Amino acid sequence: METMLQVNGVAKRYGTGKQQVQAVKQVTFSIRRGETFGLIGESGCGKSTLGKIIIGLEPPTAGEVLYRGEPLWQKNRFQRQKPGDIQIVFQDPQSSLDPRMTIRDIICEPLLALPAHERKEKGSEERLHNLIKRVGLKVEQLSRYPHEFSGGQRQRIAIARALITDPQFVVLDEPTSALDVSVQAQVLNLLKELKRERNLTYLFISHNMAVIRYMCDRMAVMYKGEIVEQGVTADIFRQSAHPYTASLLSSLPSLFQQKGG
Amino acid sequence: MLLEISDLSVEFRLLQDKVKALHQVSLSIDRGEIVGVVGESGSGKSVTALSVLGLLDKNATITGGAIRFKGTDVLRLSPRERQALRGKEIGMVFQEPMTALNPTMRIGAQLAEVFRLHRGVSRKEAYALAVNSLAEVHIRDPELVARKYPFELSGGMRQRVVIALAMAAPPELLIADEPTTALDVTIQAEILKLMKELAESRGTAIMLITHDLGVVAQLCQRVVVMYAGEVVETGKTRHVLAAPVHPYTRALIGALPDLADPDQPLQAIAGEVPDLRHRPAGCIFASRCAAANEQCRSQHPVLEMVSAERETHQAACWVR
Amino acid sequence: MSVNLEPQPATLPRRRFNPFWYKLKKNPLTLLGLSLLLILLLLSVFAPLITPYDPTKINIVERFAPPSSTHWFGTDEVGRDIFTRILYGARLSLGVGVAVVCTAGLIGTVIGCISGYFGGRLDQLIMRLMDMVLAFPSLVLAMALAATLGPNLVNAMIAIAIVKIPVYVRLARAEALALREKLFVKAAVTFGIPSWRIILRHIIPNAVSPVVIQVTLDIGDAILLVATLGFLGLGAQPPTPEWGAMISIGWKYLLDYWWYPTFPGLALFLASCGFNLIGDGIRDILDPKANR
Repeated sequence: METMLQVNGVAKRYGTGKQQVQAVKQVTFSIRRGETFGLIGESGCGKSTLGKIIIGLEPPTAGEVLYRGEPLWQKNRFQRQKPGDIQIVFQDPQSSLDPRMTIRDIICEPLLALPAHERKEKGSEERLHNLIKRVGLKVEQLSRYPHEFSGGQRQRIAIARALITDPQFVVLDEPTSALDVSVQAQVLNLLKELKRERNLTYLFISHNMAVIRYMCDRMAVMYKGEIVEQGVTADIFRQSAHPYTASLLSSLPSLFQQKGG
Repeated sequence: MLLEISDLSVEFRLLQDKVKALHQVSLSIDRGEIVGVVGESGSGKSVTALSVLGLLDKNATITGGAIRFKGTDVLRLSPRERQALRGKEIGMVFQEPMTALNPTMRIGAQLAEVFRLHRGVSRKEAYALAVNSLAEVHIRDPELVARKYPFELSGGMRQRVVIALAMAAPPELLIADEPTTALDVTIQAEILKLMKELAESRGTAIMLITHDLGVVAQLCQRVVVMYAGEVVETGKTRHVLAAPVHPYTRALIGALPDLADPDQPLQAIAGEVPDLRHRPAGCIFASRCAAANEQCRSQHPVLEMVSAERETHQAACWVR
Repeated sequence: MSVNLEPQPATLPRRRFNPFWYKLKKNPLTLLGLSLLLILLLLSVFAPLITPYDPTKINIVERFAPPSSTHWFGTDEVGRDIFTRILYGARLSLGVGVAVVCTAGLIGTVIGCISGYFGGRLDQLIMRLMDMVLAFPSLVLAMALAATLGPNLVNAMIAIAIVKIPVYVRLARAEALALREKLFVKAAVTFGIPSWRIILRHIIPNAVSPVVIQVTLDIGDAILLVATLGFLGLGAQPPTPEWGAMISIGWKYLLDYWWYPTFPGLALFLASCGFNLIGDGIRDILDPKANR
């Protein structure tokens, strides 16, 4: 299978001297076309920093990130080979939508970075309407503002915004952590369906083991800036090789683990 | 009964609207019992807790019902008497530990202040009690931590300190509102274990407010499921989770990813929580319920016993 | 511990009701300020219909006439009707005040947003420059600038605008610093949208509300500054009807002809009150915490 994203020995340091923090240390993994790759870890483990490096918000201090064979970072400059090909959905739908823009403007914003002919083609009214209906919203809602929507609906808007440019690779940074479980289920199912329909490749960042298990084909477990274990999700859940993974799994409160109550 | 809430209704004024946040909520907690109040955002679980504590916002009014703590109706107490009840007989732990800690005071001094207040001991004794209480919440090196400021501690450590503060009196009832939601899972497991252990050793009852059914399963003997300001199902945790009766409880469980069967699609609940300014005449869940019939839409269901052998298991549903 | 009382917004029927007007109605002082200014504005616009006199025509015969039924606010040292001059002067004084702070607010917002968004050396440079301007007492600096540029109204306006800019730069910069960290701005960065466009689309529109409040609060102050420069002979030149100039000349006659400086002063006071009340009102209305 073709490799979509290759992360080679990537490290990220913040600060200098005594204040130095090594957020990510020597991380290596690769994501294949068409799979969902999970990155799990607790707060401060470096998973979000890694996400930021991949989508171009933070340059790595060492190592390289190859997207379809081409380096994404060169001398601290992010190389966007094809604008709109990599997109992201953030955790907090509260702050990821500009409160002063209409839903239409928000969803169409990524098109601004595309060349003119592509912008016209992808920004057609018909495509926009299909997309908004596909994520479960109504065409009339395009002229509304973010504060008129619930958390789950806002996350649908964020998903529509990420898909308007027809990306091949989407980074999902804790996309459902701020949502109620019943809404989380809606959004996760939607993400799964969209992936199938559009042949997307996902990097799914989460702290929730159950969600990772539901979504991901392969996964990596991060702990203190390092990947301590990676492999096929089902295998890791069946038999974890690293004690940290095991402790994550055993901490997971399950509904029926103690029937005695 | 230690705490008995009966038919509690609460209304909020929001600009020109009245939002009926709680509608005839009844629940009770026995001495030493751990009861989970579970629901999604807008279910009224936090409003219930704040009503008991007397910490509702100014724009809220209790429009009906009673809250009895050890037999006295707390709604009739003066603000000063309620203040005395809080902290001394009812302890509280909130989601964000920093809201309960004074950022400019050292941990030991904060705890000592509470011990002096509740136990009337000397300064020195109070400090010794404070350090001791840190050890009891399994903080390693309590002397060192007592000298630190809140910002120097991790989230999990802070929540332990808050639990030590809340248990200082010691209270008969601990109200914990999403105490582990802001914490990592491994820390969450430790905090839940700690709370269970403290409750058992001191006979403290816990009212645990949470959105996480997993947390309820781990900690609570009984569970109260709330939806849109109403209690829809209640009973022993093992009964409710293993054989839920109300369609909402069922849907809530179905929406959780199942580790044993990850390929099973999650059951999402269609639609949204209804507009709480205008409660429907019938069942509050009818608009999102696949099984709803005419009766559900026109008549409001009441909590009824589910079956004779599962005592205390009740659900408010016509079609179960 | 926050109680989420927000009724699920999406399920509400589309709101016809506008919280802005609702809150405005609940705020009588703001309404008072608004009506005060509206009356002043209408009076000045319809001045030719309200008063039969010419604001600049000299009529020595009727000099220093006390307030009466023919000259409501009396006349000045060359017999011009003071009421008429106040009405015509309102056009100038209010216009100048509004124009000055709006210009300063606009420039300040843009500079502040650029400074805050980019940060680093550029930010350092801009902020030190602003500190330099702020280090001088504003009146002294405005006087020096106006004197250097030459004594006329436009130069006085430029001087006052320059003096006011740093306040808005600081406000806008503080907002921009916070906005830079917001996810919607980060999202725009990941789309590959150029910085200037992000500043225009996201930073400025979201940073503008504290500046708008400050601008409204400053209009009164700016009118006073224009008046003071006029008072010192650095603003509008005679015979232009301008409140500041009227007060400054009238001042000398206060003891003998009290009405001369008093009525223009009163007009200035009312206008400045009006703007301040509106500013306070806007602050309350825009403050999301005041929602309940």
